[in-house]
Amino acid sequence: MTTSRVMRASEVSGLPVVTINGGDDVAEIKDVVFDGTNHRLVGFTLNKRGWFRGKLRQQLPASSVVAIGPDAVMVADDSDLEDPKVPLGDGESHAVLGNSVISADGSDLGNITGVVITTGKDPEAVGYEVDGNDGNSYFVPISAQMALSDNNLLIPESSTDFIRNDLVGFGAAIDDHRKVLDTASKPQPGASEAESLGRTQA
Amino acid sequence: MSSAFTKAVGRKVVDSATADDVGEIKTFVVDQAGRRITRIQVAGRNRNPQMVDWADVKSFGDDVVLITSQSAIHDATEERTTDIVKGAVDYIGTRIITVDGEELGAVDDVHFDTGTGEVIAIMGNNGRVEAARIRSLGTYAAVVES
Repeated sequence: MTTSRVMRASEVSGLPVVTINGGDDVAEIKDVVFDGTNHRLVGFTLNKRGWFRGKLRQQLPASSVVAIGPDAVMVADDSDLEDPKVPLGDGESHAVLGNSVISADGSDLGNITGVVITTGKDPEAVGYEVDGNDGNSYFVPISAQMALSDNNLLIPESSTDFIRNDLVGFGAAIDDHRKVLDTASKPQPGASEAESLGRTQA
Repeated sequence: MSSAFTKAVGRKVVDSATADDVGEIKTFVVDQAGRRITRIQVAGRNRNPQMVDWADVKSFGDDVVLITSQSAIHDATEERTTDIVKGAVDYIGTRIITVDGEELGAVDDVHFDTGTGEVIAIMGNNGRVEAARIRSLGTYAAVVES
């Protein structure tokens, strides 16, 4: 497997949504819908394209995304835009943004400023960007063992080795982090599915 | 035999039965998959866009395109055709974007088979893309495999 490509979720805003089967720009990404409680990327709210921009009623579920590139978000066709059953606001991520990140040894690393997502098929949230108390930026991997309260996000000791200062390095660290998680779950046969479910549901 | 859009535009269109000049090629209508020419727009005396189906092209020559009959010429009615006639969809100049969402440049020219009307390759300003890699041609881009 190649190294996971990752990007800040906030950088997706403004990208056109282009259909692979049609070659049309059917929408534009407005905002990221993120479930902070479960550390899960839900999807994207959309704007119309063109001069008369305005909010589109439809949303794009993360599961319908084929790829997020530097120049466009690719979907198969325009049926991938869905009317949300329960309209999700744009402020879902506030459950984690601003929280203090506390390491297992009791250090306060800083505050969460953003979400990092993968850019391939079915993108998912893999980390948080942290504005460090020492003035540096950190990227912290999301794991099932994190504990979240109203003010704090406690990260497990197993994740501390995979904290990085740069996004590119973080992409590689995420892969290594997953290998560690997968190895940890190996002793129990048939636990791989539960593990992946556990990871998204925290 | 093959030809290219930029070379073929302006080529004379002649009625193969009567030898009358019908007009000249203005644009090519390509299907949504971006793989095949379905119609040709012929610029003649009529002010409305005049189309001839690829099936009515008898011979696509280096100097002249022979069509079965002038009676095969018709108005642009179908949506894909009007999109192209109005310029909403046009191979030449459109951006090339991969299925990974990365732009590769713009289309300079399109090579096609003069016998079948099938696209052979699109010539981008950053390289050639074989037809097998083309996924669609739409209002925003030509989408290609990466």
